[in-house]
Amino acid sequence: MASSATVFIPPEVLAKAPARVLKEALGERVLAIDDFRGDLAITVEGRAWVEAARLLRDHPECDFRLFLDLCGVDYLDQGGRDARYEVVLHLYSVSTRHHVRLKTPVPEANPRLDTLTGVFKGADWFEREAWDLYGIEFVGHPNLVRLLTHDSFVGHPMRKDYPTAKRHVLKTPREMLLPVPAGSEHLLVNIGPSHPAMHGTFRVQALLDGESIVDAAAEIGYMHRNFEKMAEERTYWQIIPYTDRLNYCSSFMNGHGWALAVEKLLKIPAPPRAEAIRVILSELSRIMDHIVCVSTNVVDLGAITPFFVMFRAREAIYDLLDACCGARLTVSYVRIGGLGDDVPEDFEARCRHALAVVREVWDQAHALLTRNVIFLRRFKDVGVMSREDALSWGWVGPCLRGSGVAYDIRKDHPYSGYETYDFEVPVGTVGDCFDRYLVRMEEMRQSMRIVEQALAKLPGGPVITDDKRVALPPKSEVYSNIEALMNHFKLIYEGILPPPGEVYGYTEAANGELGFYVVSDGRKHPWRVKVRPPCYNIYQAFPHMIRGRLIADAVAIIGGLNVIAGELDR
Amino acid sequence: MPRCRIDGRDIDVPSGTTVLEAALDHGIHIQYFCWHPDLPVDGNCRTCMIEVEKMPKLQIACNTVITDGMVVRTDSDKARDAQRTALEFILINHPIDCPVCDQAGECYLQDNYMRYGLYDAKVELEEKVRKRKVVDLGPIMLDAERCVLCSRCIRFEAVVTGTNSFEFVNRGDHTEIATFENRPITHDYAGNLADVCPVGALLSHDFRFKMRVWFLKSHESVCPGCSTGCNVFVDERDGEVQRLRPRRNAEVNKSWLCDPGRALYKEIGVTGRLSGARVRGAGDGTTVGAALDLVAVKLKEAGAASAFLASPQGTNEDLHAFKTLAEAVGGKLDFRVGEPHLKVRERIDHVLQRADRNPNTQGCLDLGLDRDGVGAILDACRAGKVRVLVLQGPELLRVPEAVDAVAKAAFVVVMATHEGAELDRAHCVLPAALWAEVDGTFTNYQRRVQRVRAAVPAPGDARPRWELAAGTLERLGKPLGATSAREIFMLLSGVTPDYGGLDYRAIGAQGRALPLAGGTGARAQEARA
Repeated sequence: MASSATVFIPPEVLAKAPARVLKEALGERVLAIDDFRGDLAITVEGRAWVEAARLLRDHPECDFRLFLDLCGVDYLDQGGRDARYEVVLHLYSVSTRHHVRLKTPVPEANPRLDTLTGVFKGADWFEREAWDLYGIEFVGHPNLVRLLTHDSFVGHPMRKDYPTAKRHVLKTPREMLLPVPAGSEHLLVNIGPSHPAMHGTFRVQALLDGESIVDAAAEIGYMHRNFEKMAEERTYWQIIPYTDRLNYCSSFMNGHGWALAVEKLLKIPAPPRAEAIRVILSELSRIMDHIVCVSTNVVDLGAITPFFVMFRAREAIYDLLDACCGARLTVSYVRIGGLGDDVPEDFEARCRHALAVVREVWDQAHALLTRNVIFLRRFKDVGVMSREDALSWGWVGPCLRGSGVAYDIRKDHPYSGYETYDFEVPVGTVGDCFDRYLVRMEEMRQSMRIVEQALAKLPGGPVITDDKRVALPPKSEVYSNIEALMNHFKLIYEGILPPPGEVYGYTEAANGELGFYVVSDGRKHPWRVKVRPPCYNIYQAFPHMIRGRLIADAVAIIGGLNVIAGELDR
Repeated sequence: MPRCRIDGRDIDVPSGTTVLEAALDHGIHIQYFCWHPDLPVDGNCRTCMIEVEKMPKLQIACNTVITDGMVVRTDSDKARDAQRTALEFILINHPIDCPVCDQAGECYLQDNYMRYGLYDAKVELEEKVRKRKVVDLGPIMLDAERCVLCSRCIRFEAVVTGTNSFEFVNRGDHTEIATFENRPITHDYAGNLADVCPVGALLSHDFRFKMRVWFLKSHESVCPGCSTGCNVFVDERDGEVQRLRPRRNAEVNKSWLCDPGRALYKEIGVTGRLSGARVRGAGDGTTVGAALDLVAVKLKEAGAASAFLASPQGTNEDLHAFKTLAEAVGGKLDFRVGEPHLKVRERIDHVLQRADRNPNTQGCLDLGLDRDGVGAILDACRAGKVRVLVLQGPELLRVPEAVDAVAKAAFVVVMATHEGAELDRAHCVLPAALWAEVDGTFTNYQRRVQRVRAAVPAPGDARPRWELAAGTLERLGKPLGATSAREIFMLLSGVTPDYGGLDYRAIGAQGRALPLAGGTGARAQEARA
């Protein structure tokens, strides 16, 4: 899987800025350079880790300021490697519009690596997660404790030799997330995990001075189901239903992202009709997701009407999805190479009906909220996130765009035919709650534009690739000839066999860049799947955002971040 | 050493190597049906077609000997076209049986179709030739429609068992495989027919419809049925063993396994197993710990008035721990109940099986467990000089001539895997884990040290025999100094002639042969017998 330094690297790859800059600065400490499927990946020695990250961030030709993801990988029993583990960093440059992957081997005996928390704010939780799940120690990390698993969990569950079926009995909650100075008169309150204003099971503990938040700490992991370990024991198809359960408010989009990542790995595209339908359903899902975000956010502020109004549109979209694939919430509609089935005959009529309902409820919500005095007082200039901080935390999607960074994957790295549709990307100026609200509202209108265009020029043809290595043969064939029967059998019990290699596939999901880092060893289960969850980086900043603010502001802010526990904890 | 180039890779091979052998040895996959590493080449399936530079027609890789400078392409358009076409021909009359065919999951047709086929079918179902299905040949079921006429079964019967049971009958499209008068297969190697058959034409009767193979997890191990030590795969699902399959070892069993060996999978599991300790007169619910406490107390009292009989069913690790216990206590020691050492190299057929039905007689010899003599121990028992008799296996309890001697021993301890009436002769019964439930090593008749690996958990309280001995040593204040089979092997390799420098990694998956002339004196002579 890792290319050795003796493998020939084409000059055009070496010429790419990150490769050139690191090679010049680090020389022998660059161990490998790879660009499988166009993903530039540079492996450096552990002792050059922080220096390499800094160079990638600060060098003017690199400018990788957006922190995307950091994860561990366990290569136990994979030959050809000296070190058991690898730590993988993904960064993005908004100015040059490039992704980069930086990797470093970490040995089994004494697995340690320097922390990147001094370089990127967002690295904090990612390193805690790598410690929790792999047992890799990040030297210098300010708070290296478990994040997703329980305090008294024993072992590191993502390690390959940790048995999947092992059980723990975990009873005692962690009471104190914050240190409380002795004799303090401040009040320590838990907000969550089961709290109406926490839209999902996550917890914040706040130390209050009256209504002001003196200190805050977050605890997550209540919905951690270790999707990534499940993925290591499932075929590429079998993972599709699991993806539905990431951001379950817009589940189709997760499957869309997963299918694209695997299609990138396979180099097998979906046919045009499938891509167009994917766009339509993704955009409708984006609308659904934004409706949840906006309407539940204002419920917390005491404005209940927009919720009842807007959810009618979700019902219309649910009905559409139901007609397409038989499910409302967890659709499992994508397949690698296309879709599970074609849409029903009245698809266009149903879409237009859904759009009409969306338009109607949007107008009503807009009328109720956007110039509402109370709403403005609660939202304007509250929860300001600066552009620089947003990038360092790794914010993406509407939250990042609210802070003035015009990064939308549909525009900057179009997929599924987005380049053929006319639409605009709203960008804020202040980075407060109000900007994030406006961005989401406008995005819904732009999504409607996209859906209408896609419907107008929806191509005919198949909805799944005809590549037999990936797509099931038609049932009529399966029952009447041996070749199709064998094909069906092999695809079901073995599934797709991608080539060995790794890719990072990314789409603009409702919350922003949803990434899938997939490592394949050529066999039927992926060796590693790392979900890059957009709201993870966003929520990580939350405790810092509310320090010094009022409790009421904390409530206003959290709703607008759209943290979905399924995506956050996986 | 001729050098050739296959698909752009330069490969040096020993003289006489075929293109197929060279390619497979170097990770280059070529399709084949009729070729088999342990059967004579036939070249009838024509699916391994390859392109050889300077030869105008395509060649079959299985019968093309490599010459120096030969340049081969297995993946050219011409070669791939021929491979696909050959596969298509084989499939013309193949029935759509996958849903009811056990071979699914390990079928050459399925696997090769995905790699070399991927074409659309052109034959209508009604046009396919129909043949006999579900022909009961005893341990093997024959389905003639599924047969691809590769003749592996014919060649196996001709060359390995010499029984010539199979032959082609009829002609052309209607050619079938058959036995004379549909007589069943009666030799001890029928299971191999199901293994060599690349499709579902010949299938194991015992395994029929039992389990889909893609649910199975395979573990490398060694059959304990006799001193040959054939290499096997233990295939299990969720801790239940479903079958044993041969694992190829060119030095031991090639690709074969005898039927009695295959059937041994049935004794693994929970039924009939001893899963808890028992002490006579103590009622139910004795823990292993409590039983070991008692054993230690008795041994401490008895001292040298004790005797230890090791079992050649035990792994080398079991034997080393047992010997350490015997020496710590100072009692008599031996293992030769039933004189297995005299049979360890004796064949009972010309294929695989040996007269010694124990997997580790050679290990007992190598570790020096043939010390005081079984006869001497039994005499000592009869003379009332044995206060504690420790049996590593129930062999002695099954010997009628020894019953009186055993009855005279004041306290009899036995380690056993299965329940049996003979266990009533013991005062204390300790539950032992089976070969498929432990990590360890056996040494076969050739002095080949081979690894067994735990495939399934032991039932209830059953422990590896070495753990029972180690627990006793701990209680005697003389700990073994090792807490895993791997560590015990490191200990024994330090003190056993010829085992020095070996560890599990060096033994690997194919075992490590020790010099046959090794060891000293009587032991070496016996080994050479």
